[in-house]
Amino acid sequence: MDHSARLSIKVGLLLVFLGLILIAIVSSCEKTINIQVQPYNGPVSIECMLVSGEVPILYLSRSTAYFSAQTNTQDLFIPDARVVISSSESRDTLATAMARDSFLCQPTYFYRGKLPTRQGLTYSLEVTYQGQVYRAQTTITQTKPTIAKVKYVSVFKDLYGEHEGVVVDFTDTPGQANAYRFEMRRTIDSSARKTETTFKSECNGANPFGVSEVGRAIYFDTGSGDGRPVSVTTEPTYTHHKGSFGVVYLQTMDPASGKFYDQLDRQKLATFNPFVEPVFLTSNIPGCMGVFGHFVRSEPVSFEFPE
Amino acid sequence: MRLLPGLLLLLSFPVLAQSITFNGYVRDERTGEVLIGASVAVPSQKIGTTTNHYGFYSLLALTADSLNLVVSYVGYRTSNLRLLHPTSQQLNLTLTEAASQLNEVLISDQVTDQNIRQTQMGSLNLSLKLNKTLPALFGERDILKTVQLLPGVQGGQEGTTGFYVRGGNSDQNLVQLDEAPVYNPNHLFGLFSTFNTNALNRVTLIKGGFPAQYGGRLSSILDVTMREGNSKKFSGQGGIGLIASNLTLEGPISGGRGSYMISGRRTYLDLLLKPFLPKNGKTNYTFYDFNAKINYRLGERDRLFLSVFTGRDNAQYTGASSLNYGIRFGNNTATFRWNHLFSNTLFANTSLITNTYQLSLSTLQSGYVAQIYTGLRDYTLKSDWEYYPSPKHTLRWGGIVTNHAFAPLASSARLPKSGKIPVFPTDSITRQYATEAGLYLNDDWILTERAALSAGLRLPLFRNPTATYARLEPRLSVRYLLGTVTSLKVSYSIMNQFLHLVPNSTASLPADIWLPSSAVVRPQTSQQIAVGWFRNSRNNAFEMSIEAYAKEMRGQVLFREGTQLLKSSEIEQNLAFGRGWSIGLEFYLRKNAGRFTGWLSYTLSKTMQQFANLNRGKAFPFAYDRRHNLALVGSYELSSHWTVAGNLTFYTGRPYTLPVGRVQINGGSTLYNDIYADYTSRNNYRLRPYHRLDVSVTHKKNRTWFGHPGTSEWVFSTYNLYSRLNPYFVYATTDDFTRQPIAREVSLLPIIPSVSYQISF
Repeated sequence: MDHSARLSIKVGLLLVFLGLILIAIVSSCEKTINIQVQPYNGPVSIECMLVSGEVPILYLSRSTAYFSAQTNTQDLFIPDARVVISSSESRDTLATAMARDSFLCQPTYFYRGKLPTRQGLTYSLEVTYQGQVYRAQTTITQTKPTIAKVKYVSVFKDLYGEHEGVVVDFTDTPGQANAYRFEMRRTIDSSARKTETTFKSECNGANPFGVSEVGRAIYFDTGSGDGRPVSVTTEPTYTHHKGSFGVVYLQTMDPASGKFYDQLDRQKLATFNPFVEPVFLTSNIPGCMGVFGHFVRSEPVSFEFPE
Repeated sequence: MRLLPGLLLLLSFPVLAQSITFNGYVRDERTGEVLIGASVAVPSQKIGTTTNHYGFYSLLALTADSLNLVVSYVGYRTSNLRLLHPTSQQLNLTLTEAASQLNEVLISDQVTDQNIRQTQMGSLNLSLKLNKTLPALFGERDILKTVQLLPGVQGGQEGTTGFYVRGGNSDQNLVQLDEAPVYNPNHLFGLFSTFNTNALNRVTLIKGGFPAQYGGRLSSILDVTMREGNSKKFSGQGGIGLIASNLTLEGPISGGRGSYMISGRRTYLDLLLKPFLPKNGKTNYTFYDFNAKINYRLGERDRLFLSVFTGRDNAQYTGASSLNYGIRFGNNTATFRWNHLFSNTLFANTSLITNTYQLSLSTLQSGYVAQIYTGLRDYTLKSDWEYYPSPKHTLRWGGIVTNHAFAPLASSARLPKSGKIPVFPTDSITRQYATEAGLYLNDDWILTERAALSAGLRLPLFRNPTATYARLEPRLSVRYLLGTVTSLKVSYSIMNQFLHLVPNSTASLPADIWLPSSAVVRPQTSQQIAVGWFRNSRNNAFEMSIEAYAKEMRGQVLFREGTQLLKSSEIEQNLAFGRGWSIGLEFYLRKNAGRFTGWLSYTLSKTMQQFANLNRGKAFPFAYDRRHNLALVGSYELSSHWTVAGNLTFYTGRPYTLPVGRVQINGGSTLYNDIYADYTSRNNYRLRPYHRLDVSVTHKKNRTWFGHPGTSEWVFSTYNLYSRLNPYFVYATTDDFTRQPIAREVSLLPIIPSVSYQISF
């Protein structure tokens, strides 16, 4: 073999190697895998936030393995528990009830009481299910907040990225630990979708229906925030048109409940954001996953989307 | 201070009257390169020593009519020097490289039974000849990949050079090049180290039983020494690989009073990939590194050294949805050293060192962008002294002071709708300054014919505007000979570390944030005890060791759960502090001679961590806890031209976290669904076991280049021969159609063949 032939073979080999190397560099493999399900004694989930002047609503459901095929939330509802909320003045045994989630086009099951709660009273929760008793207590102490102003901002940057926002200005209640959350009620139709997804409601045709939007962030007045003016910006849950109307509320809840909802928010962020450590949920109610607390709503303020 | 001269006199008194001293340097006869760790011994008196980092030795012997001085170094012909009526004298020695490739030893510059007789345990010297035969990813030889194959060392992510020693995090390894710390010794997402093997003289890994002269890290010291260059004649070597080429030139200065060495490497991956990538694509990559060293003898007693290193990476990668990087980083080091011989038995080295490291990273994944910037700058002054008062004592003492400047930043948030990644002006990052200092004293003491110990004390001090920490670090190693070929060793050491790298275990980022200790972030501290049994057989052709260790680490740092940083000032407030512990058993069998050389290493270990604010306060496995770690490395010389080599690795998959349950909670934000994850335990799942076989074939030939005799070498190697798609990481997501939670596994490197061509003259 002469020199040029040997050189050709070497160059050919080099080209083959180069081709393979390029394939290796620009490709990686990703596949769905089967996860061995670990033993899971799923805790009961209890959620009950008392609202002064309203009857108690309590959500009770069982948990399931993460990779389980069970996705229907109705299947997880626990209908056969005994739920009692009592105070020094009353004892209310809650009964199962159903409402319709018009956006998701599905029923929602819960327990509902008969007696409205009152400001200043201490309430005890007792849930009995399969021989287990879950107990918790809360005293409705939060002072009704007052919204000073509601406005709109088309672009806002915060922890959640860049988005439009409804801005609520108010002054923190001095001398009290508060955790604030945004709430808005409005009417939408089937053209609306959740801003974070492409999901649209499919069961309402052209008929408008009411929705309630609850903000994801909890604003605490810890540190030097007590008694100060506060401005919070919240991304609307559903898309809107120019001129869409809503009614805005400000919730103020006890700080323990605020921490519970704050961790829910941080867990979702951690789930979406691959650069954040996962958040382990903690409970306000011993022996189960959940929260028993209270919040107070401000007076409503009407709001119109300018764009 | 008055005590020191008295102590030195006391140690030297018994032998002063009847002893003679030999001292000098041991060098390669052909190139004049110093030989570090060469053995100089007088067998008839059962005394010996080894050359230090500068090739210097000092040996005290008893007077005699004649003495046989035996000088040996692995891969070199042993030299027997008969001295008649010897007197104290400077004796510079040279050794000739063994002619036969077939006698070349694969690993370790330890000679004969050094592993049995030396007091220190947990220390391994890597011969750079190893890389000439072992398979190389993309044809780039890498010493850090070899480190990963040693007992007690866990590799990091797939294909990377990161390493984890005896349960310690990667920040607990002090990687230093000519005494200058290299904070990120990696190229190309960690696939290669920054160390160009052509520029290196010696690499030593110490993973336990630390002598007192080493400090500042908890788990290991990787001490890399650059070559000084050929002081006899101009020479060079170079290579062409698939993605990079390198060239090294060296030669004498002033007729051999000094020498120089310059070495550079650059990738042309950017040029190769260009035709295959979309014109508006963002995948691109370049790296280079440059080493240079110059030394000059001022006289018989003084030598000066100046060594510099710079390395830089600039990469953008858009690949699978889970891998999307934009990263720029680089290290710079400069070391100026002055060797001075005060007397035949007192050697000193004083160093001025500066090093910088910057990393800027933007990572996109699933619409979120994480940004990290970490900048470090060190100025260091250190002085190390060695005193050989008697054949039974070697005293070392010295001090070091370093001024650190840090500039950390980390954030992660949704990508703006514009798609433009926010730019952080690095000048606006608040600098943090700190001073770290240390004093040490260590004595290697031969107690009896069977027993020896190395005892030392190090006093580290750390100070910044918010806190001052002073510590005591006792060090002790004891060796007891059970015969001529067997020894038992025990060591105990306390280490402190004032710098912290905060890892993000979820995202598996190739970069983390360096932070100094402060009033909030307390120093890391470890104590380690190790016991080892060492045995050689067949005239030291086989070496075997079994080491068991237990290590406790305090002051460990991780991010709190759910931490999402917006500003660098928030870093300290979002850290969790805890402790870790590791136990392990390391088995090592090595064959040093013959056509087949190589080793088998196996590590059985368990490493756990516990943080009050993480995992509900319960202990959990360390992110790189791997129960089993097996490496089989071998090289077989078929002929004087052909060599085949391979390495097989197997280790337990590393742990990661997935939720176990789903909880329905109705009252959360309406932006989300009502399903939340119930995490029962951190690091509760494990990736599938990792295993891989790499093979290589080397063809070496003598040639003449530019009129000089030299060699050429083709290396054909295949990484991951059977193309196992080893798991890189797993993440949970939701199936688009069924809306079911699912787990996705990402694998990175399939079979990768490569070829490189090396020449030397």
